[in-house]
Amino acid sequence: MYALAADGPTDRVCRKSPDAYKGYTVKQVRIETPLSIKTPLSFLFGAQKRLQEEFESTRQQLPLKEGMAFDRVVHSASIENLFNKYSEIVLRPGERLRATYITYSLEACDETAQTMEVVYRIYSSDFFYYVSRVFEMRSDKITRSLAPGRISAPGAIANTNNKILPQPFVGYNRSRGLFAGTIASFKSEGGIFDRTDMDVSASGNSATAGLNLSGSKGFNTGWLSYLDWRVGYRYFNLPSDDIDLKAGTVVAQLFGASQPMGSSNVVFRFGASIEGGNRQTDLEKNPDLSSTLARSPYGAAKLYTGVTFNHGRRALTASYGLQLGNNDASLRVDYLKHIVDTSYDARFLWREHRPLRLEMQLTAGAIQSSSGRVPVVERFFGGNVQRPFIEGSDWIINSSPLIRSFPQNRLNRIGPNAPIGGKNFFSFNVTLTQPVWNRAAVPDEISSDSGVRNAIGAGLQTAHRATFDSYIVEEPQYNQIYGALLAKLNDLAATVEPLPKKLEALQSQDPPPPQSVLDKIEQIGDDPVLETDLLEDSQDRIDQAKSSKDQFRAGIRTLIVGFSASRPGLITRLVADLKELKDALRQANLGSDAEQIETAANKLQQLQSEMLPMFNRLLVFGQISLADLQPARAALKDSAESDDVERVLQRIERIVGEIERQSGGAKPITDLISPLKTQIDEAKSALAVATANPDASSVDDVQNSIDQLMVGFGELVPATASKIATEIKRIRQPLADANFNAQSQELVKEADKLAAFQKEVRKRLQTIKRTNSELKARRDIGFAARSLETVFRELNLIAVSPAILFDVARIGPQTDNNQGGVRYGLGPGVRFSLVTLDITMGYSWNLNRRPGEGRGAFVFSMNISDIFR
Amino acid sequence: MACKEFSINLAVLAPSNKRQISFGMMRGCIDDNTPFYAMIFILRDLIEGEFQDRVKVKITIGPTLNDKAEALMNRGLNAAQLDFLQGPLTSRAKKLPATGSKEVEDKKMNALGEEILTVK
Repeated sequence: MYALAADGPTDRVCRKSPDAYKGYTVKQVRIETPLSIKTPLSFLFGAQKRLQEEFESTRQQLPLKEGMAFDRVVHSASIENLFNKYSEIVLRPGERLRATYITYSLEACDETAQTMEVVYRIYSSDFFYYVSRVFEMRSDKITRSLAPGRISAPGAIANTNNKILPQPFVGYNRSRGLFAGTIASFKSEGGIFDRTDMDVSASGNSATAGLNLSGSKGFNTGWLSYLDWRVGYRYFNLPSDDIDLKAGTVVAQLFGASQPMGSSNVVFRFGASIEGGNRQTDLEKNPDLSSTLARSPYGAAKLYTGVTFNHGRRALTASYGLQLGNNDASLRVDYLKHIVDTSYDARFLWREHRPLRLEMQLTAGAIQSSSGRVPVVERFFGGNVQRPFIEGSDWIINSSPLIRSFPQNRLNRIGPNAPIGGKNFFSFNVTLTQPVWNRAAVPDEISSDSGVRNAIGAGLQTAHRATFDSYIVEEPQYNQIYGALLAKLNDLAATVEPLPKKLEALQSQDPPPPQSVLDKIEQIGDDPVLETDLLEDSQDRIDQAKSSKDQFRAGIRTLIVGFSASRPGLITRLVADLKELKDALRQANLGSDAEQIETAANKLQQLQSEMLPMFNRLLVFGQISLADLQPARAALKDSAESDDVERVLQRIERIVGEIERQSGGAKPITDLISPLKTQIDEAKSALAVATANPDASSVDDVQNSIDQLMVGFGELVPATASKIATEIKRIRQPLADANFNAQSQELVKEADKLAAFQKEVRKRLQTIKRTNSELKARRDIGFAARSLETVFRELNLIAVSPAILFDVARIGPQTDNNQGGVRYGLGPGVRFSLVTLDITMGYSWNLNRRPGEGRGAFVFSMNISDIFR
Repeated sequence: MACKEFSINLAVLAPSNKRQISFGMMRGCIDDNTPFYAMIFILRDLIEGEFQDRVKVKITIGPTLNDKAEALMNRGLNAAQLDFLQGPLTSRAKKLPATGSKEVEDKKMNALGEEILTVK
């Protein structure tokens, strides 16, 4: 297997600084991504060929070329070239987030021949998303995955519109034997139905087939997240003991889900479907088996509802389904079927990229029928394949007992002379896996690089700010201020609009006005302070502010307030320049013109003074105030208190300085403490802004700095205080081993104090009342942060995990102790994971085997695990 | 610590599905002791079914303001800086001649790029 995500095989990587290779001949320049790996499944990654073609074109445009002498500046320019290219890529609706990291490695450095190779490595979530979608049959909108929905950007490697995408598959279970088939889907834009899914599989004694047409609509506002609709046909012919179960079903469905709500991202789902068709068995071939309805028409109305809770790496799902079944053409309800299906998935990340995964499922069902006329096929048959309650849907509600120690449909006896299949059941399943070998999607040396993590934090912070701005403009009180400002803006526009013509008229007067007047007019066209045409820019900013609510604040700030003493507002400078022009006109005895200019200047000044307080209210709307942050700031720096974060950091810095002095600058010690010193500098820088005089820093900067220092973005971008504590723990023993035991212990004490302060600051920040817009922005960016954390700390390109499979199941009502009763299954397995595709294989033993039952059954399943929920 | 080149870009789609915000930072190296930084900010809005650039600014920050660039790389853009991007920087960018994908060297843009680091 070609070495992928690490910096090349270790013997190829050049270990010295790039400066050391200046002048070496560049033998090769390559661009690589995680999709460069070669695996037996590479034939499925059709995009690899397309990516390689794209990279070849990009490679040729890089400043650094093969045959050149290596130069650091040219090499940096190549990274900049890639940076520009990947910054341009457009997201499409449905693709929530894209993160791209570009790095490089220098390889095969030959000191004798003075040659080398340069490899630019690109890690993009776009690649991972594509790989995970290769095996997906349907998009999963129930959970908010990294990039759910359709990718229709023409350039996106995951763009699958207007393409038939066949995906062959094979499977095995003892009921069906070896079976093979294919899934195909076709997506297009527009129309009520924009997706067609087909599947077919067959073996020597079984067949399944399905065809679905589906469409969906998403909602950005309100409680509803999306609605899906589907019409389709499903057929199956599957063996059970002694009989075959056959069904043909035409179905029309409608379902939807709510927006995620609350801190646990609770999602409510609901749906309904109408079904019709037939249910058949070949029971008349076996007259010794009693039966209810061996063959009948089939009609049903189904209603279902469910809820999912997500919290970090844990998810709980519960669903209920109700089926009103009918066996003839009338509207009579012949039977009711109730299904309850719950699942709990948890990942315990005790070690990065090797999470212990626990999957549990508890399902129960019951059929009520006063007439007893229940089609055999509708009764409960257990085995190692789930039977979905909703045919052909993304939403899987299991409606049969799942027990992997029985082949499909083979848990079906409740007693001699009893109807085949059960009228009630329960099953409980546990799967436990632990990766023992993995290839991380993002190599450790990248994911642990603090510069990378800080840059991600900065990106998240910026996105949070911009997302907050998107939400705030929808708040009613914001819109009141906005409306009042807009009215004033219109007055401002009316005052500015005639000025260019007026100045033009002055310039073209005959006789022309004195040079002093012309100079002042020219000054307005190229203001010495702002270095711009004040009238043209003012008009542009007014148009910008009026064109879009999102652009309003930026436009008004540029016009009225400015950004600093050296960059005042456009109107401020326009008023000043107009007054100078007025003075020049008066001196030139052009009194009437001077009066007009003065009127305009005064009007602008008056409007500016009226707009300023309104704008200041708009600026701080929805944000917390400095007063709100004061309790948190007090914990950071307060000379009235016995201790604070600043003093803790000063002591840590003093201890580190002491270690450095006593070691005499010995390289092993300086290398050991260097990361801690960097983090202390980072902390001091953030602390300075967080505790600065209010005039020196904006509330935004203060809050961002407190967040950087004390809060962070989860484990991916930990707070600087957390990083310091972690680093001190890491170097504690090596320092003690190097005879710095006392200092090591002191550092640990200070780290504990820092951790205590961090806890206190977080507690104080949580008491601050946040607006809805702020909470929504945090929710959205929190999701992005968790997704990135999953990519960096958890996601594997490939992983192998041993598995333990345990099942308990029962169908009833039990009529005989020999044939009914609870069954247990236990066995080992192995799971191969390719990004988010899990292929699980194993064997489960039937622990309390009854007469006529097998020893156990092979297990094979393919699932997409949604770790980006 | 010796300078090491890398770049990171984060693009997020706003919940309305109508706005995309992209923020990227890059560190280049003239040598081990001389980093320089570049920042790209792109704001795109969905207009008639296509995402179109509303704000697109790239700033290269030279060695003299490395501390402030490093701070930006750690903390991201604040509200005033976002407004500055959409205000004076976009104004200036619109006045530059269209050159397709080629970058244009403009002193005023560079000056504005350095000024954004000090905006509060």
